[in-house]
Amino acid sequence: MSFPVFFLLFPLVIVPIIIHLISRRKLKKIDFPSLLFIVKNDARLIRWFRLKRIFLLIIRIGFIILLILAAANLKIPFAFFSPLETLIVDKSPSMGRIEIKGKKTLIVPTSSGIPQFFSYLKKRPIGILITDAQRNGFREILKEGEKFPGIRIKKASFPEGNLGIVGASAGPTFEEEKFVINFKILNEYKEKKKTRLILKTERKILKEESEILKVGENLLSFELNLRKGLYQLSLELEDEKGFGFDNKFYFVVSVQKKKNICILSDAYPERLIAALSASYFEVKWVKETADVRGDFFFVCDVNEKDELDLLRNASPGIFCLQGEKNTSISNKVPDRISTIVEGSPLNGSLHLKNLSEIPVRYNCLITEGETLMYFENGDPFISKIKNHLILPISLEKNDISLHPVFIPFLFSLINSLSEGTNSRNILLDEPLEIKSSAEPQIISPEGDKYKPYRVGENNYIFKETKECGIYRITDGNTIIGLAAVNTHPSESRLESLSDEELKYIFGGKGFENGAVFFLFIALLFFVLSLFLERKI
Amino acid sequence: MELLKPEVLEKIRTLNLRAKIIVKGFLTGLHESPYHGFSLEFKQHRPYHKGDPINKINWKLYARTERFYLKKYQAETNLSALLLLDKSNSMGFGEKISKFHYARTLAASLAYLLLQQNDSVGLVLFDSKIESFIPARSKMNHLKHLLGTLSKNEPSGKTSISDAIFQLLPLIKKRSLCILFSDLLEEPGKVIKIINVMKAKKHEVIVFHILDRKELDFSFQDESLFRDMEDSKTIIVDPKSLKVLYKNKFNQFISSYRNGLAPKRIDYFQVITDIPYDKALTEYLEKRKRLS
Repeated sequence: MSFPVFFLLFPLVIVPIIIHLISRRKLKKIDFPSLLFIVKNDARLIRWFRLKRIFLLIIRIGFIILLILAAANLKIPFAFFSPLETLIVDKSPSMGRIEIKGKKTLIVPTSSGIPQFFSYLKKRPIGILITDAQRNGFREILKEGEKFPGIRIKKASFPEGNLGIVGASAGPTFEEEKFVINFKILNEYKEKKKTRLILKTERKILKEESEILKVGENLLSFELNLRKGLYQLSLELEDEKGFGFDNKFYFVVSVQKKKNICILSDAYPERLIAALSASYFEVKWVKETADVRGDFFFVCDVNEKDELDLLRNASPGIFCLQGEKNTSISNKVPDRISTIVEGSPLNGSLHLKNLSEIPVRYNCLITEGETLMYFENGDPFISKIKNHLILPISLEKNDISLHPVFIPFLFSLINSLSEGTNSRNILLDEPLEIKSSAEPQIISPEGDKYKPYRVGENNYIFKETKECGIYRITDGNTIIGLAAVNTHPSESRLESLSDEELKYIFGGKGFENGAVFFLFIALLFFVLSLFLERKI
Repeated sequence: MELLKPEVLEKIRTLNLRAKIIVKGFLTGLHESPYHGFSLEFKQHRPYHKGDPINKINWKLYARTERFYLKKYQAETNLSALLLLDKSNSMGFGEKISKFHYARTLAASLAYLLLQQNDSVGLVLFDSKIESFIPARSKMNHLKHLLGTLSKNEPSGKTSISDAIFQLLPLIKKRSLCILFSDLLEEPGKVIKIINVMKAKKHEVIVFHILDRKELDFSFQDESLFRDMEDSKTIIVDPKSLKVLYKNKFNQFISSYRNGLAPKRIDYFQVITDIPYDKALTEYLEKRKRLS
């Protein structure tokens, strides 16, 4: 960090000039008879004496300037002795593996593979940072407008291009039904690239084909038909020149038995039926409570107490409350509008992107059950009582049913109440939530065994997802879940900060703190001045 | 000995008293009378006049003639000394005592001593030319004249020993002992040449090279503006850096005088202004003995 306020001391350079002039004026005068021994023969020396006085003046001025520069800790474009400097290494996947020996080295922690520069550099504002300056790690710094002038950047280069699998998604996966898995593949080369793709489970290759990938994002779909069960899939591609970490993508699929869904509603639930039918469910509409059957049920616009009797039903279901004043689980409130807070730490399965974009109108306040998601104002959005979810909105009449997020949202709600919820697709460092009646055990892709933290009744959390691959969750004997861990999609991008941005954040590429350097030069000047004055 | 230190004696105002103290102190320390070897010679009788000292009456002649006669002696003056004192500006150098003041006191002391011994003493004050010339006389009251001239003069003018002596040579009629008091700040070759001329004219020459300690060791500390005492040239000098070079050149300068004067048996005495006068007088006495 520089301290430009010290530049205010620059007028002090006039001090040696004044001393020079005064000393010249006050020079001791000596009448001497034998001057001929000096004058006649030592003209060169006399010239040197005159020059020496000028040298001394320059050195003294320089000495003061150097002291000011040292106090201001001005930057210099090269490294000088700096014992306090720390080597900070970006160890994100895009940096590959870096071996640093012999110097105090600190590794920048990552989340989802993205380095956490902001908080880390704030704690250690002086040092050398080795990084590829990939944009994703600096978003927070740029957003906050923070500067780290004490950090010198050693920029690691990117490969010339990269093919990387950055995401996957699957539609409803039911037994005896074909389903589609979509993979998103990034081509960061400047031209189309042909690559070989292999989709396989743990034991056998499902698909193997060559594809030409256009520049940018490519969406590849694989149609599969699998029996009921838990599958650990992986898609591999060939890319020797690009990053290696994103050439393989892991994905977990839970193929379930096809569900029968019953919707209890006075009016025909047009939107719900359309959405659920599109998701390969067998949907049936009933008007009477007594007629409710099936693997799963929806109760639309609950406003009578007898409809709440279904809470005692053994099969899971979702209640959309209208909010009668005297129902035992809700209170009538005036119309409220709020957005939904994304991501509840206790219910990862309900983590739905883009849900927060929709302002939701609701008119009742759920007072019972475990709240899984909230509105932004703190009111409950989804509560859970046994194996039933309670929502304070009408899924049929609310605007949410017109939004593209509606079908994934419904699917997510149904999945969260279904068996096999321990199957997850997560990012590096993302906590893995586990529901288990017995104490579970986690087996990492490398075969290491871990025990997750218990955070509630039958709820556990595992935070050590430090490597890409499939984490297996067992109850001691059998596998009760799988988790596929991959890096963040942005880590595959060859997008680094521009020189201007680097200069803005770090105060110029390759510039070092110059305090020690300027002090050293000032010391040399001081010694030189003593030498010229013959004091040493 | 302490009393004969130049800085102590300098506090005594009159040159006469200073010279007396030096000579008496010097003689006391010597334990040997400088009068040995010098005698007085009878010249004639003269009648006694009122006021003449009674002890000078020749009683034997009174017994024969019954008249009072006094013996009249003629001093045996076997030496004519000429004190040549350089009064140029460069002789004014010195911190506690200047070279000129030292040389002046030394010359006065020698004059006193010589006159005590009935030698005749003359004085020449010069810079680049002769400023004062007092012919040699042996009378004691001549001392007043000498000391008066010495007291009146202060350093001035440029040094040119060769020119001054060249001018002086025709004025010295008698074979003399020429005692030169000078800092010799002139081209040694020229000075040696003119001294050799003096020697060739049968004069004895003693050279008292008057120097200040600082001229020898150049023991100045701080960078200073040095001004030449004769031509007023100024120059900024760092003494520490020049010291060795200066001393080398100055020693060469002294050596050239020593080596240049020795072959002609010309006595050269280096006198530094912080040494007591008696040492300088001893040098003289040794020389005088040799001459006698």
